[in-house]
Amino acid sequence: MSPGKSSKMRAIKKKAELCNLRDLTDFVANFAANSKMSDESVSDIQLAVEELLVNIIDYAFPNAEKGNIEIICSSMKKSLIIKIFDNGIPFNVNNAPNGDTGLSLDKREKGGMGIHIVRNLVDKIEYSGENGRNTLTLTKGLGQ
Amino acid sequence: MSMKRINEKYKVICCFEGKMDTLSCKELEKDFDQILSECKSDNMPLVFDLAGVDYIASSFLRLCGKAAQQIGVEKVSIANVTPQVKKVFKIAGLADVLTVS
Repeated sequence: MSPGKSSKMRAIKKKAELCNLRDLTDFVANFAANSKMSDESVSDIQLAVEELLVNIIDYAFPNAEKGNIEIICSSMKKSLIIKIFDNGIPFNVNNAPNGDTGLSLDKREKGGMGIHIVRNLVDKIEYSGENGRNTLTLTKGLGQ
Repeated sequence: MSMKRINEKYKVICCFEGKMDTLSCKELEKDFDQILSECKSDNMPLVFDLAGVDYIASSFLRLCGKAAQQIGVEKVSIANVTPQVKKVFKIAGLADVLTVS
């Protein structure tokens, strides 16, 4: 197999509802664990995915009609790639400000901390939006 | 996931167990608010005992922040954290704001 080629791939699709959060995050954690990631990295990627999913569930579908979230996990030779798709309101996480960790607690604004945590737990986060479909791509090295 | 409350003479200890993810925090929030309210009215310090916790989401950090805002940052401490949990407190900049050990 060539160095960058995916050795395995798994997908899951659920309604964008909080009751499905654990099914989605456990799916990613199990995939990461089966890809021989360290326990620490499995926990990192699970937390990163949870924070992004909560953001999508809370904000991407403001109307009663909830859309879908699909996750595709791919294990490459040296890294894990998690793609999260949704059909809600576009939100480019790379344009979101970081939560200001230097502020005292009473001066911190609600929100922003989840994205800040995600940025610190994965190697790369990319966003693309096309034809009403948003894609977040997380990359994390298997050896970390 | 569970939260057990221990009332000591000079402090209240909340012992958390399991994964403190977004759903767990939502489930615990009502009981936690009650504990916070009592700590505030009795002027009692609050200890989060995280010996049994190996995973926290930002929603748990919000509970800690809420406690610090309501009863005072000097009255809140986070004890028995695992390295993974401490990492999340550090990323959020709370390891220096709260007493985390």
